[in-house]
Amino acid sequence: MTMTTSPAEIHAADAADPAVRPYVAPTGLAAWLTTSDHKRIGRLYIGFALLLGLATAVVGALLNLERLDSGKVVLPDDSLAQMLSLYRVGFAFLVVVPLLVGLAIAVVPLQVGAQGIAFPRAAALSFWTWLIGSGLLIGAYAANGGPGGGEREAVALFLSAFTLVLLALITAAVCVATTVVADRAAGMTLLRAPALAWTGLVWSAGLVLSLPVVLGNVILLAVDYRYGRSLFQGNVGIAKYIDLAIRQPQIYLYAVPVLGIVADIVATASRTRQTMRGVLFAGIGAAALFGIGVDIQASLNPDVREQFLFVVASLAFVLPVVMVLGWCGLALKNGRVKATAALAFAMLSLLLLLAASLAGALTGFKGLDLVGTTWENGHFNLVLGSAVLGGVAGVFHWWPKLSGRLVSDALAKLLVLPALGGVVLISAVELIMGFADDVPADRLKETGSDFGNAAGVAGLVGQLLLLVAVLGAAGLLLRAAKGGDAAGDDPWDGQTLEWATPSPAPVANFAEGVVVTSPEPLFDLKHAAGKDA
Amino acid sequence: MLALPAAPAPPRRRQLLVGTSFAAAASAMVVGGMLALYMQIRDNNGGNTVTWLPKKVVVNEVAANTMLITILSASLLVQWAVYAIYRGDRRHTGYALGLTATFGVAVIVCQARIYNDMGIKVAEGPYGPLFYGISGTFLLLTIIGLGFCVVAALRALGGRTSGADREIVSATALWFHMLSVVFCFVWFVLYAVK
Repeated sequence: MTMTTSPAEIHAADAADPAVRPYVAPTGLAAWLTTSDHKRIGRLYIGFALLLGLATAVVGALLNLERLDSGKVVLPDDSLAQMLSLYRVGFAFLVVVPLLVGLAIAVVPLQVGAQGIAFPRAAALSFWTWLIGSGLLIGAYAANGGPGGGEREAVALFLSAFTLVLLALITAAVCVATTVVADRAAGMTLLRAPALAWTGLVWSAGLVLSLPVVLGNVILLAVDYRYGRSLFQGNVGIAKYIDLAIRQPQIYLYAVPVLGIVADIVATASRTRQTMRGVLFAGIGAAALFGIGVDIQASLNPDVREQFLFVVASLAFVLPVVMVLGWCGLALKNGRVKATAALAFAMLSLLLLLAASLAGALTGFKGLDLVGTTWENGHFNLVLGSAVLGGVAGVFHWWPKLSGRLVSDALAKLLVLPALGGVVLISAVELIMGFADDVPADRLKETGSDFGNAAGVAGLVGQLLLLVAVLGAAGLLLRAAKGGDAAGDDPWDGQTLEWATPSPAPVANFAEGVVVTSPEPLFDLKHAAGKDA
Repeated sequence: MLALPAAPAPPRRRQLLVGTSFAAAASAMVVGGMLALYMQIRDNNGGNTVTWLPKKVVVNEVAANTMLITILSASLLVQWAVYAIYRGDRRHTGYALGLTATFGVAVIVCQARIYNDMGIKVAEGPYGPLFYGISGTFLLLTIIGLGFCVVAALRALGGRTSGADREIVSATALWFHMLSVVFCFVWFVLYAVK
């Protein structure tokens, strides 16, 4: 056994040896607690990210309630800033990134023809570390320990918990990136890899290069906080030094997997061979590159927003999104499109991401004075909201392969409108208010709001719609897992390797190694079989 | 179900080495980000050693320079281990990894000496938390390198000198090369520019 041998490979070797007692796999809860199967780890990430998504939507709803009557309703004065911080940190690191990491962990090894994910135990460790870190993070906020919090021990807990969350996500990214680089099937060059696999590589590389910078800041904050609070103004300075992780352009990076998910869903739905893959891959690569934003520590250096490079960086993200949108349009135009709920979610998420990138481009123009207003919150909601929609699209698309059961497409289509309406409402209201120089909820009492109850009501309705959509999606997944129709191995008439293995995919994914000679190996096979017949 | 053309499982494409490359990049970025913050805060505090350094601080430059030479030497020694294991030479692999680990321990000793001579607490102005935070993180990365070294040495000395067991020596080497490059920057910022 080598350091990187996966349990699936050990069991396969043992099965061939009659002297070895047959391996009895754990079942029930034990199977989930001890798993190093990437499909299960991915599903755990997805499940808990959706659960925490519900909690985040509730926090968002409370913040919008606060807007009613200009901040005199629900929350005590000293908790507003922390609630806003919980919403932003939670949305990014407890919902969007883990949801997309989970999807990548579950699907990418199947797509590249690997027998498992690289470093399966590290991937499992990353999930449990993330889960424990997330629980502690929420606990720290609840105990008045978020950025600006007054409880010394709870603030220290926040810093430790955030460190755990970041370490876990970096570890997961290393596993995904290594799988794509080192474990691809014979003949699968990077250009022949499916779009999500390529996205998994460039996205993970982006996370590996950017999240450690945030981690470095958090370590220094923790050292300073533990030993004297002489450098970062104690609890007050924390928000400023973690801000780079939840601001433009870094938040774009969190949404990059949407591009790969959409491209794969469109490719499958169009049921034809895809052209111009170089353009698609270049677009996705550029998006990951432009999304790395740790170099712009704008809260530390406000002047950076006035620099030419910041304006260019703000504008740059539009280009890759347009490239991917153009590619998808071409694929849909040339294909024999089969409309599914996943396709609807996917295309809407891409359009929302385009809108977000355009809104972000406007932020770079000093004359508009959008910085420091609710415009930035609206932009944040639009980027991460589009990522949630893209993530849900991916989950609906690949769920049959992961669970062996079909999600009701008709019911899933019913969720498209609430999800879209939710993201649009929570974003558009704050974008409009930002143009009128309205301030975020934690500063309402200083300045008041020109929009009064209308903005609060609209935002509240948006959060509730999003809550319904996420709850509905989780319910549909559970319903499918419990008693959905059997999916079959290839329910969408797919073209890539993951659809060539049984549903649900066995522990070792593929019975034997495969050779790939094109980007659409299954498409080749079906057409060869058709010609032979 | 349609069957794809079967092929023997492709040889592992140096999974451990690739994973270590990503981990090394992440580690370098942690320290790189910290150094950037150090320079930024130093600049905000006057930008010269007179205004920036606490008055009673003593930075042991001899120990710092020794650290630099030691870590660069460890980087060379670990490459000897890679050379030896690819020739199936267990004895020299063991020597090389043992010396690398010894040099790693020497780096830790030098750092301890610097801490001992500093004469300031962690909470000393803005300088203290930054200095101890950055050097402490580098120390942690060195300890991880030592762990790598011990595992690789045990495997090599146990007679496992092929396939993935060679790869772990390469991965150890990569880690020490990363440590060397990172320490060059740490040395320049913390001990040369201060």
